[in-house]
Amino acid sequence: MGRRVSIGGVGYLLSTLPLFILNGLFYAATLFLIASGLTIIFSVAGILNLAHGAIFMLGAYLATLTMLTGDIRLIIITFIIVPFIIGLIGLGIERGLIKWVYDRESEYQLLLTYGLSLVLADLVRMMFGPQPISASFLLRESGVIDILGVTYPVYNLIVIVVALFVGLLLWLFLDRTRLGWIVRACSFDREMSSALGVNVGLIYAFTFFLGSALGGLAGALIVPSTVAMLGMDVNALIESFIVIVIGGLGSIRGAFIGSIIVGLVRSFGIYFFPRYELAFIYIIMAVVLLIRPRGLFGREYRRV
Amino acid sequence: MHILRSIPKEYYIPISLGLLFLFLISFPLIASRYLIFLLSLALIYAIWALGYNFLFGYTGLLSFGHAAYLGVGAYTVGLLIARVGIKSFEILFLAAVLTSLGISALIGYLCVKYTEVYFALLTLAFGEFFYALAFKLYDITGGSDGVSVPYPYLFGYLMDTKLLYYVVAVLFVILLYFAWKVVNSPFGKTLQAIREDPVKAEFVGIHVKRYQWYSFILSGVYSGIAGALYAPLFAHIYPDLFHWTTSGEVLFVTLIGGHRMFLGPVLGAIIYAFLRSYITAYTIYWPFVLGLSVAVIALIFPNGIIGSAYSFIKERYFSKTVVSK
Amino acid sequence: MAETRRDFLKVTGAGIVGLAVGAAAGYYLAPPKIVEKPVPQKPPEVPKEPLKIGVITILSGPGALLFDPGLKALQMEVEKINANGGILGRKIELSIKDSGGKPENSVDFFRRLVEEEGVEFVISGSTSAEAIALAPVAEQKKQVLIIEEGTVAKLFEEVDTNPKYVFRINNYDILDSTSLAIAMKKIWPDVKKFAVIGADYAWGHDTWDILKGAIEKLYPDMEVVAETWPPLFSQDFSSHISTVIAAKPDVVALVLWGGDLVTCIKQGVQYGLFKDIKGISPTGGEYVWAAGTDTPDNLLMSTRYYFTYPPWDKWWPNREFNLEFHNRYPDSHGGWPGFNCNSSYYAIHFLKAAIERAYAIYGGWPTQEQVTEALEGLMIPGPGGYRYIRPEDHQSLGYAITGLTKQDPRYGFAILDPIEAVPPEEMAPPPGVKWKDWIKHWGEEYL
Repeated sequence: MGRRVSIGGVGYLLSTLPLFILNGLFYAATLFLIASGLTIIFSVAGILNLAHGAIFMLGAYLATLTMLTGDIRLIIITFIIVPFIIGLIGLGIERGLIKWVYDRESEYQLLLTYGLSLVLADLVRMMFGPQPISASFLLRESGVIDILGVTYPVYNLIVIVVALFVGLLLWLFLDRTRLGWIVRACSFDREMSSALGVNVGLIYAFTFFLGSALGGLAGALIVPSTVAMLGMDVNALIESFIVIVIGGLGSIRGAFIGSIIVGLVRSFGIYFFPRYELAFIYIIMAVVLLIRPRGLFGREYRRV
Repeated sequence: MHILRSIPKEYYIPISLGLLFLFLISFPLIASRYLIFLLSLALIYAIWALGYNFLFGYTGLLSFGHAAYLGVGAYTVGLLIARVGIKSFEILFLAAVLTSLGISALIGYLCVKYTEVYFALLTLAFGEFFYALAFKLYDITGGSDGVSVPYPYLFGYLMDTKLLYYVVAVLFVILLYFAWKVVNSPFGKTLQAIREDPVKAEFVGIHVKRYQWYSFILSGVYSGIAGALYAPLFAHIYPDLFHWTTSGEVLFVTLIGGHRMFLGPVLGAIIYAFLRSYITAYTIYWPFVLGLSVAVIALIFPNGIIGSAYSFIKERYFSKTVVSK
Repeated sequence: MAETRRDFLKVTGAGIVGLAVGAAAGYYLAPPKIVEKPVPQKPPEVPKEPLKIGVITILSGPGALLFDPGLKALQMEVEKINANGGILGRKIELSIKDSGGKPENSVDFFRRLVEEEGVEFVISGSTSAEAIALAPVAEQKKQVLIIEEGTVAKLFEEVDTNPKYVFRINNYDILDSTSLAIAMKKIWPDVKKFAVIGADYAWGHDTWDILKGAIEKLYPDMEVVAETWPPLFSQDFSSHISTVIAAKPDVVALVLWGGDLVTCIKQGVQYGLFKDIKGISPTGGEYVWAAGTDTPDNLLMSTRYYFTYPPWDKWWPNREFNLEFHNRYPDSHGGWPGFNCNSSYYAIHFLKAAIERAYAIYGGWPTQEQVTEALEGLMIPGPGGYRYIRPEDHQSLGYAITGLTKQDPRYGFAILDPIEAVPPEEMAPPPGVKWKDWIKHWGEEYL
């Protein structure tokens, strides 16, 4: 247990409160991007996509290809191209495979996406090898700033801003555009939407494109400040899954709030209870489930 | 066909059980030691999947934390051997049954309050709780390294791989028979009624939650027994036994075989154990091949391999009565 | 119920009778006895067929970063041995299995290799958990097992206390930490406050316990001001780093490996972690290759073998091994062999030397027991200098390497320079002594 006696303590924490909040938000940012992709696919297509972690990992590895070049224009384009490619991969998976299991029991959907996650993760190993790949050009070039006397990397701020921006765009899209309404309608009632003349299959395909692209974007964004490595898929999947459980299955708003809660609790938890970090996320989930089983913003779940 | 018809129907079950038993007992005479090991593993999976299917196939509750009870059984046996020094498998076995009974009763009581995906999530959360315990209680459980488990003794005989195989085989046949009895008992029929329509079942006076709880306990105990056999088979226990990926494994085993068939989980377990072992042994790209096989099974066999084969045969050869579903 | 009571009894009765018969048969068929391998009167001829050696290693998942290059080095050495006529004229054939780091897969493969494929020896590049799972099985099967890593001290202290068939090649975790502490005392004699960012699993905690024990001996007034324990494969260490900076330690120990260490160092640099705080890392030496130019200078790291030591101009086996590996696999692992490559070299050459030694003594293809005898006390040269297998506990020991990181444009990553290579006898407990007892009386000579 942290026998934290010396200069640290609550006093220090108060003086650097913004730092810990920013750390928490940085963690929340990538988590939100991954989780929103997972949750949008779940809410519309009714599929818990276990391959989403591998999609995220693929995004990270693809992004290293351009980031290692050190060409700034190329790197900025990466953040558009990688999500697009990953989105197309998601689309291909949906049209080629997942399309056939919509009418099956959800267990078979899990089975299929689990199999896909193994295949994708192993493809990454075949293509990129087992060594972790570090591509920190962007992190280094963007430098650091001083926040109340503490150094903070600018790149982390960029990630937070991008995630907020993407969250805003998602909200605008779902709430203010016609396509967004149709997507939401499909998530509420598939048969009814179909009866009203919506091409449900197309909407599902689009959802997979969008969800996977969000996962790919998260991968590309996280690469500069960390490494692309085998095993990152599993952690991302579990954590984003728990986030959407906390926020409420199928709710973008829930994913947003859920990831912020997880990020902040983790950031402060590490300071006060560093030994139990492993359990934080599960404790949050258990508390939320016991108090409000459907999650913070979840609606009553029914089988599609 | 005539000989078959001349046998009274009520003998079918004991005869097929007897034949199965004879096969299992004589298997070591024809098979290599490795195959004995592998079949032990497959039968342990089968016991686990049989138990799991009480809950999943017959009661209609999808648990994503059934590794917890396998782990509880395995850790009970493993820790009692390695830390307490109890070597007698009879006692260890009993202890594993009791702990898995107690823990599944407790967790089941909390979980059956919820349904559908929330039930799955809650079982998952409890499973991870046990995983965290095994991981963090380093001084007792050895943390992520796990604990090495010396062989126990059965009635004074060292329970090496071969004797363990016979124990597994005997227990498997008993548990298979017992499961058949349960499924065809009024209790089993009640579970199936709950699966089909819990609201209607409640309406006709069935105490749904209570029956779901019983089913949960039953499957927990089966899992615990599987765990009790698992620990001496690998002579090692480690936290991944509790992990949700392990829970996923039993789900896959059940689905591969087909959860609507009584024998589905058993054959699924045997297919899975052999498939995994041979795939992993002959390619270093086994996650790829395994993932591909799992995906193909999910796509092509909607009712699992056994379920699909069964409906295929039934339609082809006994097509006078059209199979529903 | 359609079934009457009588039917039920009949059916149950039949079942019970069947079971009883079966059980009796089972009892008869399975007389539990220990099969002793008969000692041959005349030494067996050297067989004509190739020598099959099983390899269980980690090629998928994060652990692959260590063991994939290690396997390449093993294959390279086997190819060379085969080109020179093999072992006593027998060509070596490797049967390679990927355990993915899972103990149950390892045990499964071990049985498959020994019982099904009939390999004569097994080499395992494994995690600690796998080593603990495998060792008892190997002892029970009386099958020589050479563990390359699996460096947990517990293996020979608690699990396999009297090893006969199990050998471990690489320096184990005690040396990683004690050598680091000694080197630290030499270059930073006055530090006092320590913090740790450690991977939250058995290796992380074990290593920190040992390191802390060693530091306590060398710096009696030491103080631990912060401990953070991120889970394995965390992608974000910013909160841990901030927590450590908050506690203002003199030294932060990064008890991490692989991608985790790289990520932590990268983010640490951004947060200014190493501006006022000195960084140390047990076994970190080669993992920072993947960080490229991001690694700051003057982090103190230990490792179990470093490719520049012993210096190439003084020790040709190291130069030869490195150049050949580099020519073959310029893209693997920064292009230079890591510590598992070194372990692979010794694993196969120890086996070769032991078989030849036993052949010289007994005049025939040696049995498993004769190979174990020949392995005990064996000392052979290799890339990392001479290595010696302690006969008492089957632990092989070689130089423990420590050095400060220094960016080197020739390699494109930070290398360890200068290097402190301490002979192992000073940094590992003598056979049969547990490290916790040993460390109480250790270190006085360095004060």
